[in-house]
Amino acid sequence: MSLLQIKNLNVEIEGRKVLDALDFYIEKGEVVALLGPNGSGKSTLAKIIAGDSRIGISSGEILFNKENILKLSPEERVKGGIALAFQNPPEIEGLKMEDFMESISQKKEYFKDEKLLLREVNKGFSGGEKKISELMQLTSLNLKLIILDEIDSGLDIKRTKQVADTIKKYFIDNGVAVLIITHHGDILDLLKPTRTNVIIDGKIIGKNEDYKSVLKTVKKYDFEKCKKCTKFLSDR
Amino acid sequence: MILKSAKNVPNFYQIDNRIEKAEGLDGVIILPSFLAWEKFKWTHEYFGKKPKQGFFLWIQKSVSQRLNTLVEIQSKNILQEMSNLIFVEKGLKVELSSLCQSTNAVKGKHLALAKIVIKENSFVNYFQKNSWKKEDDFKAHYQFFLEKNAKLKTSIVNQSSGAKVSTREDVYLRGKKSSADLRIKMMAENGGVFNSESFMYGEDEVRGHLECSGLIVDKKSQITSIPGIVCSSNRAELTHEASIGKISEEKLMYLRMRGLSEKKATELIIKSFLDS
Repeated sequence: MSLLQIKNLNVEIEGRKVLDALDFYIEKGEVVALLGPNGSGKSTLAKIIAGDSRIGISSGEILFNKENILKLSPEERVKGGIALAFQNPPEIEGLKMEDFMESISQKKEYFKDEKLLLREVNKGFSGGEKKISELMQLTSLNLKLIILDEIDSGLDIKRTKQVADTIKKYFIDNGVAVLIITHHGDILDLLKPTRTNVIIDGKIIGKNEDYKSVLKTVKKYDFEKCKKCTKFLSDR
Repeated sequence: MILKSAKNVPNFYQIDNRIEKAEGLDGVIILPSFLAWEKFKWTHEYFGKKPKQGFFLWIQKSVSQRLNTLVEIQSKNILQEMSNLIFVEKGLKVELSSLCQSTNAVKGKHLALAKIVIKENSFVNYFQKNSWKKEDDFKAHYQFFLEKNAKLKTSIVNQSSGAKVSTREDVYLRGKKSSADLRIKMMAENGGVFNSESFMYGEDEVRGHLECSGLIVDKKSQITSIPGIVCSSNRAELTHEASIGKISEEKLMYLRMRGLSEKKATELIIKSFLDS
């Protein structure tokens, strides 16, 4: 039985179909990638799994440990072990990171960036600092599944390696399942997912166990042309 | 509740209509206003009439510690009529903090007129917090008078949890090269109602900025904010900003996605707004 199982998920936002009969699963402790262009529905899917109640779901179900979690609040989902690292987290002026961490942390020991702890939550953070801050928050929680939304975007090689090492040490090595949502896939070489899915226009158009093969296909044909190239991806 | 840390120990402390403490220090005279009226005739010009209540701070030397005043209503149906005068002599650097609050929902009424006079070349960092609860009635008028090259940095934080709050601030930049930065925060919840008017007046080669921001936590609450700047010289540089908003759903969702309940997340957002 999968840790996370999404069945026939349909989402419309302002009359536009954002997720279209989407089926998806992640096993316990598995590292899975979701690759897709801008506007393909990746971030919407991430937010829905994490419990963003502002997004209305037309139909479908999301099972986590066999339980339908669609009616659970975001905080109940965190208690259950699901958390999302945001691509663009909001700035919370006036709230110190160290006070915020004290409010949310469920563990004494977690990955800490001492310099960020002295600042206000996400205020003036660079792209890299945002990613580190998001990871710091997630490492303080007891989780079973983390969703990383564009965790590698805007990072240089050194930062990408730092982020990947942190993900390995705190999550993958501890049996936490990881869903990597990415646009260009650079971090996949470091995290080596066991399955890679391609999403376009709210639909998973193909998946493959070999992430290198998927990246090669995407780089060769681009995402747009990929709509017609599902034969390059095994449709298991 | 007396503020806990030593830094916040009040120099003037009033509960209901009882003065608990009025203790000066070297270079700072602190008295109940009615005693200041009797002792120093020059204060009549500022008080206008003999004050019933309130505090008088006459700062004659720079002090390294922050000066604190605390005025509370703890009992039911109390009326406080405060007339406060803070007088900062020339060339000083002063930090002031003033807190007015009700400790419970006691239907208190607090009326305050405060005058803060900053003489030549002095700098004042002034923090005022007012926190009122259900069915309290709070009316306050703060007037700041700045002489030549005087500088003022002020933050006024008003919280209303079901209280009716009416405030007015007037900053008079009278002396050449005087400057002021006035930031006003208003947070209304549980049916709290705010009427706030804030004005800055510039006469000659002065600089001032006025910023009013409000946070409405629920549908029952209301904030009216009227900021104004009045320039009577083409060499005065005055600016203002005003905004009133509700709790950001994006921030709320973000905090809840870290495991905080909606209530706890809301409290953190309010606290961050007031602390920013």
